[in-house]
Amino acid sequence: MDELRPGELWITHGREEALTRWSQLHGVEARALALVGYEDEDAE
Amino acid sequence: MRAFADLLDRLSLTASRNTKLALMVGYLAETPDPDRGWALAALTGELSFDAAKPAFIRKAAEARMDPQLFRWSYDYVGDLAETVALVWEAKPGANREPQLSEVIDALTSASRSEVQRLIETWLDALDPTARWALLKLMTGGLRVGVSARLAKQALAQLGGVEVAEIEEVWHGLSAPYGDLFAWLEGRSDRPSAVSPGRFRPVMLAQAIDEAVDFPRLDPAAYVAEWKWDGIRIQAVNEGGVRRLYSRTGDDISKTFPDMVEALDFEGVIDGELLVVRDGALASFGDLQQRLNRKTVDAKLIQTYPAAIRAYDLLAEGAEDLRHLPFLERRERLEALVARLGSGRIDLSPLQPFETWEGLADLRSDPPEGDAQLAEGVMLKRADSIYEAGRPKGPWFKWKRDPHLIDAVLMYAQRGHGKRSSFYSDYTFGVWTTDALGQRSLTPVGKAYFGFTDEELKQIDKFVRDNTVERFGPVRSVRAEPHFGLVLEVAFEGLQRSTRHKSGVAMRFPRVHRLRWDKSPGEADELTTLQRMLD
Amino acid sequence: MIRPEALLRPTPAGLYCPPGDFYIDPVRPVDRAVITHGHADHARAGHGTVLATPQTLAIMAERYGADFTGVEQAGAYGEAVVRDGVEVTLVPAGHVLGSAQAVVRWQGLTCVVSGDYKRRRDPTCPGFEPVPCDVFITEATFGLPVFRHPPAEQEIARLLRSVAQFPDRTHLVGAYALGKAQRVIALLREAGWDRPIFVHGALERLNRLYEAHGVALGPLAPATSTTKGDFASEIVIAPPSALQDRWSRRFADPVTAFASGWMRVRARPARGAASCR
Repeated sequence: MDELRPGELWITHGREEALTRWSQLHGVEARALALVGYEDEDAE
Repeated sequence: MRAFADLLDRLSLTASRNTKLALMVGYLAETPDPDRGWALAALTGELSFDAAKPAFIRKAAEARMDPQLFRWSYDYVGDLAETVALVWEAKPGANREPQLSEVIDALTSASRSEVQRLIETWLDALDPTARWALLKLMTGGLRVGVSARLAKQALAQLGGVEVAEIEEVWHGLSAPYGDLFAWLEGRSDRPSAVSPGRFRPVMLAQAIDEAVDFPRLDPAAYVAEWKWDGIRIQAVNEGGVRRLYSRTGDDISKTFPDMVEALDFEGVIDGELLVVRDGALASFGDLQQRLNRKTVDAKLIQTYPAAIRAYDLLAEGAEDLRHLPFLERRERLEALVARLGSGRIDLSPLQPFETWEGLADLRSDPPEGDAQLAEGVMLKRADSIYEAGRPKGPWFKWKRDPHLIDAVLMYAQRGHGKRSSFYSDYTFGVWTTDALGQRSLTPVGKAYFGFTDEELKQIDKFVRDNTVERFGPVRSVRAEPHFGLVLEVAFEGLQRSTRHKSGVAMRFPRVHRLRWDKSPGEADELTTLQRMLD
Repeated sequence: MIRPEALLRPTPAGLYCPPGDFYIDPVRPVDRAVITHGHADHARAGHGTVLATPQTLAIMAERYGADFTGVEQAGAYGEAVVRDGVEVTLVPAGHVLGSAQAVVRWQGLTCVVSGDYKRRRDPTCPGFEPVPCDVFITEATFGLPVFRHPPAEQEIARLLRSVAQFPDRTHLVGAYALGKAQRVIALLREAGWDRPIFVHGALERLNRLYEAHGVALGPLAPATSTTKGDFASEIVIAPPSALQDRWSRRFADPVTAFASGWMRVRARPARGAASCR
């Protein structure tokens, strides 16, 4: 993220709160999309 | 630090005892002094540092990163040392990795403020595994599944000596154990075992094989006594040093300060630690209330008063008695206990007998009183010297027959380590009948050994073929009056329990036999167990 | 400038692009889908049209059969495809063979849907290419700072050290069938392990597919009980689920390792019953 410096960061799923917090601290606007249907790991 | 970290990492990731041994022997052989000695001290729990507090470590981490992210990480990982090891953002720089001995030196001699500063420089210099090892070392409690006993076995393998020899000298040594390694590598003589208050390796008995042993043993050559159902201990008072050891040499003095205070003799007593209330022996369950406690308070001591029932005398004053025949040691023990006149230390009385049949009667039908709670009888050859380990012939244990019931397999759970591909932990139940005459199964216990590998495969197949429901690693299996698996379960005793729905708790249950021949409907009723309580 | 929500928005079926009328990695069957990579939770069967890299299309055909979608549309890395005025470019994500970020451009706005990605080197697929963008869309499975994975080469070295130290035992590596398994194999080859590597049957088809796409995996052999005694001193790769099941009983005193992002956290043993390395 430091390298990309996007205008906004959207988070699909996972530890959304952690990445949102990181974005806050780094002045990047973040949004949690809370998409469902994706595994936490590529478990197959 | 790197080799030590690698050792801890790999120890923590294997459940196999032999692998752990091989890893430790490899490390001890390859690592120079004094690092390996400090590692050994860490593994055997001999190190503790007052200057390093978990609060410091937490503070150091929170100074480097967002405290909220740290808290979430800690919540997720659940272990402080590991969390910090993982989240630490090292400052790029030229810090040199510290040696293990350097870390130990600093932790033992530096002031708190210096330690706090050092922690940061060390964490910056190390990789995540080494950070984890460092923090585990500092906060104590490595939890890599290595007992002091296993570490001593690794030493024994390293030097090609018996574990008993290591144990004999162990308490006279201190970290980093240069003299110990010099001896094990043949560079010097065995270090002196003379250290007041040290542990003497314990002599253990073989289980008797009734069919083989009795015909060839002469009853006149043996004496018998009860095998008390407590924990075997060694009580030492030598040159003012008082210690209570478990039979593996763990110092349990702190758990039983009342007992330590009562050691008003000069010498070494081998005996059984028990709870004795108003002169009468209490059950093992009462003693359990006092085991594995971190803190001991006056109320606990008063409610579960500890006592020693003495079996043997290994030393009196400065005199080592272990080379004397049992009966001579016994005479010395009797005289010492009589002189003591303590309410807290008494004798395990010898039980006269003429024939093996006579002893069998005594064992199966003990007289009123304490003997009812004994686990069985011990046979000791009258002329046996006190020999460390489990020598064949001089001492036998002859346990009372276990209780047996027929129970029905209800749930099975996957095992651990080598058994992780098997359903090897079994919950079994017996029948209860409600007011309407309806019979149902109530779980009464769990067993995870007693069966052969072949039987394990059979049960595992039964579980897989007859699963009714799955709950994570647990499966419930078919258990109906006309279909299911009957397990003959052996156990040592039964206690009332409010924690178990059935109201009873078994001691030491294990699978005795698989009863493929029985239908579950024929298994025992809970009332059978309840009768055993009385 | 237009608002990004006009270009992409979350819906129950997945991320939807109204002007282009397509979904990215939809979790339900849709008319038009863009698929970032072949893992089953991202790549599902039953869409009308699928735009993906040729490798991802091949993986989907291998898993679901040739009729997994109505129309296949191959988009090579870096090649812009225009759908109703919306430009979609697939750019390497460094995750598995064929994995891509979907770069969506419209009226001067750039959104990057990263799918699953990693920044570490992987010999089995081209590395992640950063694309400057207005909105970066990412998952956060490993969003906590506790997930800092050590370099894979270092983990492979540890595995090989263990093989040398315990030559009488089988080293069993749990790795997912698509991606992790081939990465482990390729890294073992780089580290000089040139003996046959034994693999569970569930990995064979994808291994062949990787080789067909130019990823050399070296000599592989099936880990069936008839192939070679008890596999002492060998490395065996299997899906993690197989390691805890009856399948694993055929091996000599196995040492088990998991090639998974979760396993560095040892205080959380629930994820992998007995993890012995």
